[in-house]
Amino acid sequence: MQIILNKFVLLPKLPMTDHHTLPLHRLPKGTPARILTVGGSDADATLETLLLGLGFEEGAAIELRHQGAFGGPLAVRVDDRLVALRPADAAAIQVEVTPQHNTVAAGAVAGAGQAA
Amino acid sequence: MSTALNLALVGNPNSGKSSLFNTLTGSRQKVGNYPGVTVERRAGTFQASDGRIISVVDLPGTYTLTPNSPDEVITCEALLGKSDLEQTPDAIVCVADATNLRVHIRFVLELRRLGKPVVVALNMMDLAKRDGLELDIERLAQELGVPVIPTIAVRRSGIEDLAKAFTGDDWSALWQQFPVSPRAEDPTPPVRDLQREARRIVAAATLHEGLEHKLTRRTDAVVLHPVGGPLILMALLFVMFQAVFAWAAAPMKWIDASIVALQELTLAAMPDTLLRSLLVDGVLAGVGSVVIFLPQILILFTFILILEASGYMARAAFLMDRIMTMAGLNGRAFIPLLSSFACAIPGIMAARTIDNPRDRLTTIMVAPLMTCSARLPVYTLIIAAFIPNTDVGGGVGLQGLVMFGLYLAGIISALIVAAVLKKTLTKGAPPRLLLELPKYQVPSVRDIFIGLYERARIFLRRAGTIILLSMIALWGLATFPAPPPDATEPDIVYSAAGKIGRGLEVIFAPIGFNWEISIALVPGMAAREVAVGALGTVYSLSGNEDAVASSLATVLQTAWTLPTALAFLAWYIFAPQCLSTLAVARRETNSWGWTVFMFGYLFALAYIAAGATYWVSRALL
Repeated sequence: MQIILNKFVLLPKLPMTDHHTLPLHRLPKGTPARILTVGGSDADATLETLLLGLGFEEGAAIELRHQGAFGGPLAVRVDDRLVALRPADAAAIQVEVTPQHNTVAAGAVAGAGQAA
Repeated sequence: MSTALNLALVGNPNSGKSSLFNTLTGSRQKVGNYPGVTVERRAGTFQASDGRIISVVDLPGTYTLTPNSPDEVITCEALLGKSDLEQTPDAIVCVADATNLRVHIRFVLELRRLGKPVVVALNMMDLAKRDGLELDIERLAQELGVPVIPTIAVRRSGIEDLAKAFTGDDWSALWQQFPVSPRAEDPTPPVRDLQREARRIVAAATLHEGLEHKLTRRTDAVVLHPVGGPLILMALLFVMFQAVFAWAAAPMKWIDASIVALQELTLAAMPDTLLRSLLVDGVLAGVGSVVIFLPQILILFTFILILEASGYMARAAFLMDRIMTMAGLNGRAFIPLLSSFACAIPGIMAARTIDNPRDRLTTIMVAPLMTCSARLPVYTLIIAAFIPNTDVGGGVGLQGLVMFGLYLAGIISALIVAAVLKKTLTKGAPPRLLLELPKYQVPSVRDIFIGLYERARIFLRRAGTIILLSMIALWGLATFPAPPPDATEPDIVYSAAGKIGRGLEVIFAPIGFNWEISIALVPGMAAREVAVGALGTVYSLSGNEDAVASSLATVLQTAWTLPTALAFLAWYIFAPQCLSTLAVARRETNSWGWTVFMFGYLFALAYIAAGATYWVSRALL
């Protein structure tokens, strides 16, 4: 109960906009998230079809598991499958960090923002 | 024998579809190619419980009915009845991975719209149980409106239920229970709608969510580690090539001994006629020197098949992606290129899974640089003859190390050639990698054996046909015209082959090749390993009687200098001569220009590499 309350208090303190959603390739390793959008206006249609076909669906649970050295591909777990894709293509997927990890993710996102 | 039903087996890649196909059909299967398009076509038959013969074709794996690559086109056309190559199936069996249901069910929803009976084989039930996943199968069938039969393809489980479903009475009863809806005429709904529906169905049929398999997760933490992963991959490849040598040594000795025994028997049993010479010098020496490499090819394929079936191969593609990107390729090209270690032909065909045409072309162009098993005979022969079998420490043999180096040289040249191509002739946007990393699984022994049996059959058929014919042709060229009575040199010098070899020697002498090698390279056009057989024939016809009995390696030790042997090895890293590869490249690229380009650049590289090796080693040794 205590924990839930803390979360409840913490949540409104976070900026509600950009810090909740981030492109998949910026998602820190091991942080559970959910897919918000796949593709979009600027992403090409083929990529969108391919991603949807492989199970990148809006609402699906997603987590970054492994990253290859020197900017190599990412291995992400989408629902129950592990899929490899390149960071550039992962950028077409917007994700939202699931609430339990908001504090962790907010820090990581801030870090990623500074780096960018 | 007429068949009662024609089934099409479909499913996502990694659904265990091929394993199910193997379990259903066993040895009653035929592996061939789709004419014109070189995607592997696997078809077979099995008996339903009442003895009816059911034919089944294993269509290439696909995620949707909207094809993204050439092999997906085949599946879609066959299912839609648009294919000239396949009969329109009477029913569709869709193999779905129980542990990964959402994406698979979405595909079932697409299939259901085709207006054909669809049976879902809910596969990998063992993995589902292992992960604690519980499914309400009746509910799933009810929601989908199609029969669902749980199976474990790798363990035969559920296959009886599947075979029983196809018995006459059960089959009609099945479709009374699950009426087939007519073919949907409206356009396919957007994929997101199908996804939503699939999600709803799976949620309704799931009694207990599975937990992620811990072992797969832990294994991946090591295998996909940014530093550890590539090291493990290198170690695996190294062990693989060491094993090809160490384990094959004994069976190769037995085959060699049997061939020598057969030659001696023939020599003893027959008078000294042309026919005896044909049998001993042409057929036995030629074909025997190729068949001897069967153990090595089987060992190599055992490794490749196990790595594929266990789920590691996709991980290797993941690990190799960064390096492949530097060459302008994608990690996905790693699988066609790794198959090319066995033979460039399946490798070039496997390039069909690459959706970008430029990447595919680049992959096809460099595939022959991967050391195919047909080069193994050449490498083994020369290494055995010229590289001392010393231990360089830690149980690592020098011979294995040289072999590893030759493979590595092939890989590095492939990456360089690909990078150059991508910067010049096949310039384009960087390719993408989108690849499922399947769950780890213990491979089924039957699947491995069926795979090995297929490879052995293909190899021996080649030995029995194309290689045998080239050997007989070569024997003819090397025997006629007969030498004059006052001949002072070996017979072969006076023959047609001798004259051709002398002619070619003009081209090859600068890179250290003698006329015997020059002759051997010609029939080597048919298949690279024929060069070994050709050397066997040439030397057994040119030498004294001792040469026939002693092994070719011993003969070469005295006939060749070390620089020549090394130059020959370097030539074979590139070795352009393989008609089958060129024919497949022509078919796949649909361009004579690219085919000629492939031959030309390989020849140029082979010539330069062999020449450089010859002159450098001559200067140093």
